[in-house]
Amino acid sequence: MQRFYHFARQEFRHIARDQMLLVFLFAPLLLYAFVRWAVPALEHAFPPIVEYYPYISMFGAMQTSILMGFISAFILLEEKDEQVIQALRILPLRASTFLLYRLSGATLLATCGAWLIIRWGGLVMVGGWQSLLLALQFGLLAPLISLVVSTFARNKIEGLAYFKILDLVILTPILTFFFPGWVNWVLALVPVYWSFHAYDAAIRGAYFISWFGAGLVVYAIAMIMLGYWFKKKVWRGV
Amino acid sequence: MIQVSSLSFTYAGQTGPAIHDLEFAISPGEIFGFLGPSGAGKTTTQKILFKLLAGYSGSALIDGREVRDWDIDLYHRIGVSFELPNHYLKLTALENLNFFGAFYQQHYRNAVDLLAMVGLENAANQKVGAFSKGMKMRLNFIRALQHNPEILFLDEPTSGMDPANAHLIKDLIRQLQGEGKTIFITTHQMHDAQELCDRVAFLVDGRIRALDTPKSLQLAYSSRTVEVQFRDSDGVKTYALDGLGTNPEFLNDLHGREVVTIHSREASLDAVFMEVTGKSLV
Repeated sequence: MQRFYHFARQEFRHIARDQMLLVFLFAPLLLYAFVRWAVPALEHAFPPIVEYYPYISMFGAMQTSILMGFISAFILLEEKDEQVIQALRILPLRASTFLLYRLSGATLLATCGAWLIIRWGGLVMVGGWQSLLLALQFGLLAPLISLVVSTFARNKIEGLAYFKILDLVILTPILTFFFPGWVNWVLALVPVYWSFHAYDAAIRGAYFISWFGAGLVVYAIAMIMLGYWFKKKVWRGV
Repeated sequence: MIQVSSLSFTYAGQTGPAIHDLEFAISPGEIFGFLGPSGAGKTTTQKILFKLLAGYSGSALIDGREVRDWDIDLYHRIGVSFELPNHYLKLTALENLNFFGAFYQQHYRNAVDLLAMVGLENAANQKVGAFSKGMKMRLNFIRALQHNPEILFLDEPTSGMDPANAHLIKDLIRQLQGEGKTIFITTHQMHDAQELCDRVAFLVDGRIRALDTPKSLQLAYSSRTVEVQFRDSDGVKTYALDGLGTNPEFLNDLHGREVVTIHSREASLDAVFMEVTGKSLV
């Protein structure tokens, strides 16, 4: 527990001393304000927007997680750039434990942010326990983003490019609601596809657990694969 | 304490080995130096010993246990100061030390005391990003000490430091030896090795070319002569060291002329290195 505290404190100091990360940290609150007040305010001017409420909520939950994932990815990239990973490797600390510490803060914040939008966003109603489960699954997007960026980007500049590309790629499964067809199953490879559909199922009141459960399996597989690559390319690659 | 035999390592994608059939042993309380030019395999050898590189052939034992068989417990036993600074630049020196120190179970040295030990006490609350390379290297050095390890790996410990701070670090290394620590240094600073090391190994192209005490190496490659400079002439006069006390010419000159300087022609470690390896330490 004490180590979690040390990591959390160190991450907070990092964020507090980096303007961009500080903006990213508070951006979910702006997203929430947008979902909670700005979108309903548009309803009078553009009534069909109501039909898009579920997707706006999905986007908000996803974006919150991406932002939190990017914060921890950026800290990991800095550790990579400055070769701090080398110094971490000669600590009595396993790669898996390090990742657990490093990614848990982002996951927790992402879950809280996603829950805020899903449960109290006000655009669509999802029940208490379902909203929490959905938030947890959206929250798992943060460590995935963090692992992809920190493993494959060579430095912080590349990391920013990854962030922009991933932001678009991760949003693509939302298209499956507008353009149905078998091709959409390709997008099922993107873990958030399952979170979007679980969210949709919760709104419709059907098959939520199936979508959610299948999603967890996809997230777990992605997490194991990315964890392995991180260990191979970053942790052992120093 | 450290025993290496037939140690070889080849990096992935490389055809030739980075180090080849290394054999050496380091006793408890010894300062052992690996000397060689850049790319000789010094850091590779150290990285194998502190388990940053896997897949070596031969044997590398620490405290009688093969390095590949050590778990993360190894890192309670050893301390490592890397060749290049690697710190969180946005954190202060004190925050850096406290963060890394938090991972050790045993009681570690006080971070403020460590900073004072290398003259960084006034920079304790300064962000490391604002440090000079020498300051960062001093921070590297004390970070390796904070869990009071038995074995220290110091890669170019005085790199980037001004002479005064390099002197300070060398004094601290001697002090650590006095506390019984085993110290493995890699350097291409011959002077540091000569001053600090009980024994040195010359490493070139991944192979050990010579291994002995600095003094023995110097003596083995010295010309046994004495050079004397007299007040009454510009040049120096050379005498054979053997039988010097009974050399009538030498004794006559000593009595009859004023001596300005007198030196035995002991080879410098640099010269020995060049003689043995045919390479210079660049």
